[in-house]
Amino acid sequence: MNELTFTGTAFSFGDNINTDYLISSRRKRDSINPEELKSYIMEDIRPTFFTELGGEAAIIVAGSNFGCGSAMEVAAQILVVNHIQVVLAKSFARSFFRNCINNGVLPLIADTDGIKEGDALQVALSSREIKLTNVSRRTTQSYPPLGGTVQEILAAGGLVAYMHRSVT
Amino acid sequence: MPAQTIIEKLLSRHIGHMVYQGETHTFPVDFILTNDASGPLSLQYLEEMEIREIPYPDRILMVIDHYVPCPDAAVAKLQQQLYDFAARHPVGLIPAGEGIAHQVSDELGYLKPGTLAIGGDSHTTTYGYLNCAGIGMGASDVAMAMAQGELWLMVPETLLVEFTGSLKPGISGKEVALFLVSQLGAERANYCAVEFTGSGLTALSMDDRRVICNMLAECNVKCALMPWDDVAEEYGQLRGIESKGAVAADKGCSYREIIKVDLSSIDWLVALPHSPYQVAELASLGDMPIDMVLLGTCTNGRLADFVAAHRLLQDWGGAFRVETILVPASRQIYLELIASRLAADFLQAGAMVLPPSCGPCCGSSPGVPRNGFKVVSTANRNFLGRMGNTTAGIYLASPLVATAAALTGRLVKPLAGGWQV
Repeated sequence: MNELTFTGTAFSFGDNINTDYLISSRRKRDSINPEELKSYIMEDIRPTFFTELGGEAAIIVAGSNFGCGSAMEVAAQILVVNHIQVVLAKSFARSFFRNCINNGVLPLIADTDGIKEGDALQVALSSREIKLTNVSRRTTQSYPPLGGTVQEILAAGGLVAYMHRSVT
Repeated sequence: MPAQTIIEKLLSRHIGHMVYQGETHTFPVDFILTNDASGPLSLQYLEEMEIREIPYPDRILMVIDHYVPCPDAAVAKLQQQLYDFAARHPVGLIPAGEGIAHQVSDELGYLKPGTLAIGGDSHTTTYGYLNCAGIGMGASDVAMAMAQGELWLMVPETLLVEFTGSLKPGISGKEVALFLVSQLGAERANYCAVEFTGSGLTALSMDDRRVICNMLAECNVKCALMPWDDVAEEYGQLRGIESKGAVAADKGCSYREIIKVDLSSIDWLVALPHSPYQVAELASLGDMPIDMVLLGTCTNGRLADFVAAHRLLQDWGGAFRVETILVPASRQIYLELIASRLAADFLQAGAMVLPPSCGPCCGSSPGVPRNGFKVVSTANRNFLGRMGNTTAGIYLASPLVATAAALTGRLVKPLAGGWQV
């Protein structure tokens, strides 16, 4: 696998960020098109979030149990359309973890305590390791690589691309 | 060969060789469930994957249960996509009003012990009461399973819950579920299968087991698995469910953790806003005033739940003092409520009875609380804004506690003679 690098500004969230906070079920009534829904990201707990993102690449930094609750996949897609390719959390809910991978978002289980809102972060994936660099604080952490199929799906950019790749 | 947990053995049978926790394999799936919330997105994934052929349409069930009856043109367009797909492929499609997927999939006979089921709905874990591995998935995984009839899974570790003792009168599977959710939290069973055993199981009805398996979704479990014991066998015989695929754990298999629960130690419990993990004893809440009650959903919308509620209504008399919404989990249950005249008594007491559906549980169907409302709900989730209003607070409780709240406008103990055996 070729090296894959993501960069972005850290936005901090707490524990137990559920998928209803990422995108509310009441919004999904109107559309399931993430482009149309993207401005509602985190609206119930951080109404200014979409404006703060400003269309720039961002990395969400959270505590434990990120993505708990409903398995609805729009919660992962809303990250992609908002240029959030990486979520760092102390732990993830299992269904959300899968949804992230399938949409080309890296859910990295990491020690997020030392990372502050606004830090410039870089995440580099290789076949040997996942390296997390806090550019602002000049620190690095190393994590084990994702395994087999999971890594292939993420490298392809998500499940749809992976399916096309494995067919052709 | 090393001893196996239920999930290890169930998955081994599906792939034809022994598999153990931590291994990742691709497994054939017996049953694929989707609904009008996640289904349209699964169909979009199929479209993007350029999938034209569906290899096992008879294994797929699409249930219109979230937006019922259809509230507007935008939802109508999404629901139409499911109908269009069902017109092209011979999959099962259950129209609005028949009930919640987790109820009708059993009523229609899609489930039997040993089934590997995946669903585009987190509460697919419910199927564990039938000794099925029910795994909640996102829309893309459901699409993948629809396209290929199989899916990659990591064989999970298993956590064993051992029940002893029996429940005090008036305490139900809902209190057991709330207790387990508060103990396991989000982390302790994340990615795990949870298995149940112990002498206490004989006292837990199939309905109690449904509630427990349903609510373990809140603990991020991959699946919850009840054994196929005498209680299950009796239910199976009554329903004509073939039991030869039932899976039991081997003696000496490897558990991540064993948790012992004395059922007789559990009292009335309530999960406080806005987290199912934040559970308090009802007695500690000081007769708190409440504004609205929801009785129903895939967690507690079955006949036994309404029978318990009705007994308290009869015993205490009077009428519901706050807005009270009832949602039977299926048309069959609704018909039973009518035939037994329970529905008439509930309506007489001031309740609204909504069509069988997910109802107001996730704000997808009408029944939104007013500003600042404290709602007592028998559902499974109480996140901020869950019922469609971020200023409301949701308290999760059993049907009896919810009924007592409806009758008094307060969180009080549902003490009565009527239902105490």
